[in-house]
Amino acid sequence: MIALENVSRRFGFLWANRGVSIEVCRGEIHGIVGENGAGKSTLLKILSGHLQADAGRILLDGKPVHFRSPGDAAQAGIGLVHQHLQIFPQLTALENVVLGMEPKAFGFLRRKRARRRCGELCEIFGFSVPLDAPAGELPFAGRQQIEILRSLYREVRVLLLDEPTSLLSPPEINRFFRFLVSLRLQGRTVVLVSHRLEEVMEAADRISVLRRGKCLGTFVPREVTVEELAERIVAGSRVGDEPSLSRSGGEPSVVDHRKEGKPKGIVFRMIHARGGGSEYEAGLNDVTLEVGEGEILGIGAIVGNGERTLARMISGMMPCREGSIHFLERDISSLPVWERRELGLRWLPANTFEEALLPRRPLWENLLMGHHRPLASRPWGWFRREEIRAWGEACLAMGDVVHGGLGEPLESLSGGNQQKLALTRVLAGSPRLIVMEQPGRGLDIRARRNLWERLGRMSIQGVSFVIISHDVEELLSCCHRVGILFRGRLAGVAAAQSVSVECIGRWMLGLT
Amino acid sequence: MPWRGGWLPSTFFSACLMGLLLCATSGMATGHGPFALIRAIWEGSWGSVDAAITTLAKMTPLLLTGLAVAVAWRVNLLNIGCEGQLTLGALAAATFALQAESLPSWALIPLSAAVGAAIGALWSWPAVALKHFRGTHEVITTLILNYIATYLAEYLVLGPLGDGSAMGRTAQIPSGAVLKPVLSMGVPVAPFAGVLLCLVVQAWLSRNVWGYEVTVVGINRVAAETSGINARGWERRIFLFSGALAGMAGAIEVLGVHHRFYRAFSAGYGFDGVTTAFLVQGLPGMLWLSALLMASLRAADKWLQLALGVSPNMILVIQAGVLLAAVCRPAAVFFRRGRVPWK
Repeated sequence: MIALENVSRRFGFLWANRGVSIEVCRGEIHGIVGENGAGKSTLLKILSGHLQADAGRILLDGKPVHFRSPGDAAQAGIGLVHQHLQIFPQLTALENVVLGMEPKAFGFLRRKRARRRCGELCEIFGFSVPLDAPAGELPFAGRQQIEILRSLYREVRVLLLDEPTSLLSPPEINRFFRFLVSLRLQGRTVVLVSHRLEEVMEAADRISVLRRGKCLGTFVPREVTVEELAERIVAGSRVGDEPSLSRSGGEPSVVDHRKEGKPKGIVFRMIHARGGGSEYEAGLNDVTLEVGEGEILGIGAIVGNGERTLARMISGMMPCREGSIHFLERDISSLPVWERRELGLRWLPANTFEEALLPRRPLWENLLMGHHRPLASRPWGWFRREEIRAWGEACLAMGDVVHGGLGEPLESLSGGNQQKLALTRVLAGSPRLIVMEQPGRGLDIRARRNLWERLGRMSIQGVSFVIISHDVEELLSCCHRVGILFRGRLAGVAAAQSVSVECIGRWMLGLT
Repeated sequence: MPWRGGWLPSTFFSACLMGLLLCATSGMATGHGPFALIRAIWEGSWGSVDAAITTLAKMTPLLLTGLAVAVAWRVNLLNIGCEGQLTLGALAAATFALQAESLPSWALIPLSAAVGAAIGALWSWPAVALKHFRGTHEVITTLILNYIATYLAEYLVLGPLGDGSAMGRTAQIPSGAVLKPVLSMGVPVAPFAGVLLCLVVQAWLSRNVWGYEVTVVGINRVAAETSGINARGWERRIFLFSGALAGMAGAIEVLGVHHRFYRAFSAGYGFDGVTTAFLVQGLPGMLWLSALLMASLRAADKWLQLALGVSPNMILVIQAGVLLAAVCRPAAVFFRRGRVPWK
């Protein structure tokens, strides 16, 4: 159906894709896996006309095609769902879906017709999107469904998905894969990029492996094991020794920081907190929790159960309507974000690209945010350039970020490297408590392991963490204690090493 | 090196091109030939020493109001209220100079300018306060404040602060308060100081921590707060600074040009500040270019009447065309696909 022949694309001196040849058959789910920066996203962007290949060609149904814009690709029936969703938050879900192909009469949007068509699609594929809600207020899963609907609305034959499951919770992921199967039954083709090997193994009919821009071949899941695949992805490092941090668990070995005995003092305390909440996400309802010095507290939840509210309330982005928040023996309930940060409380938002980064500004400006004051001369505050450069290089090296120079715009990094940059920024300096939402988003196995090791080291030095993630098994294998939020209430908190998975599962579903 | 200077905004060139085209077509339409209008504008603004001095003098308020709009735009606030801030700043400076007559010149001039700036800042404060506490859009509030300022100034100058005549003006300020041209041939210094100020602001924005914070707030407010920057504080400070610049523009008009305040004082300098700023996409370091263009057009309007018998309003048409071209940014689309218009 689609054949890529020797497709190459270069950014500066970096080959994102180099002589990639992949064949995708009609009606199959084709997985593409690889490390951060292996060129997966670039490949999808070339297929969907967002980028043009420097060399090589694309054959669609045997005929060479040349997409000069996403519009060209859409015409040919190819649609891409981006890793960073392209949503207009002010428009309603419906308007977002029909955007660019609005049914209209005399220049007016024919809402009824649009709604009927969208309703049909939702029904066929089992989506439940509130069509009249502003897209910005929907949880991530809802926004993602909008973007998928947008492609389906345009009758795409080939759907390209870039990291679709990175912000979905386990039940949503299951629903998502059922949706992929229903697409296949209709004879549509899916190209799926993901870091979660087990998922891809389960869902895909065939899997292509990319490493450093080159394609290492295409495999059928039945004929290879996850380990073999992982070995090909990261080749050069000894995969066998690495702890598996993937979905299906395995024996975690990064837990040595947990043997350090009981936490010493209480750093953070939240008492009977209430507040926040919208129609689409639960607010907090009487949440009380404590975090000890050097403790890693994991918070798990199914999307929309108040986990975002919790993070935003701790960081100060959202006011605490009732109850109080104490940090380092001080009531911080009414302090603004920046004052909390000065006390040593930091926050890594879930959508780093939108909420923590400046996409079009150079790397050094992105890296500097939050660390800028100490790096300027006193008293006038002029930047000391050499120092900033040295600090920036060191910081990027620490976070293992692959980049093409501090002056390059952030956009030039791959999604995984952007996340690494945000992570290394929030970890740098001397924080006391870090609230992280979905820290592993978009990271490959190795980067995840490095991240958890780094968190472990920092926790031994006395830094506390509140880590909010949908990947509960990862939390269980790496945190000291794990709590579960259900409809804005803390359903339970338990030591990670003693609690059973069944118990966590019951908490997540609100059973006691 | 990761530091990049500002590039000449393509907007400006497309705007100039549009202006020239308009001049040529309207010149032909009025039967003077395609180049007559362009020549007249040149002669009217730079054709003689006197004309050049007038042009330079007109640059000062444009630079300051342009800078006022540009810095506010840095934190995503649009200050349409320069007109009102400038008017009240001018009145305040004139009144202060008249009251504090006895002060020596070296104290009187800066103090009068400072009073003008302070009143300008004060007049911008309600807009940003209302935005922060009630969520009112600053464009609406500053626009309304303009009207209030104009009529307030008119009332004051016809009544308590006037010179008693029915002209609606204050008395002439003492000679000690007059900002005299220092250079030979009567070239004013204020425009050069203005350019210097713009360049300092540009350097501050790109190479200073505080300027960096302002930039970050303007690009991504959530990210700024996430990384511990007081976004609200910067919005307030920058907006007050913006008002102060506009007020100072009024003060300098009084001290350097008119030597008194009279009703309907601002000749549209406040609104032209918006044009000046957006011609160069709000880059403070490039404001001198757009201020030069706008001042040249303004200075040439009388000459147009004298030389060609064309109505001075022609200049307004050209200004509008230039602004339109700048706002459409056609060149930005053609030559810089996918690039950021903002440095």
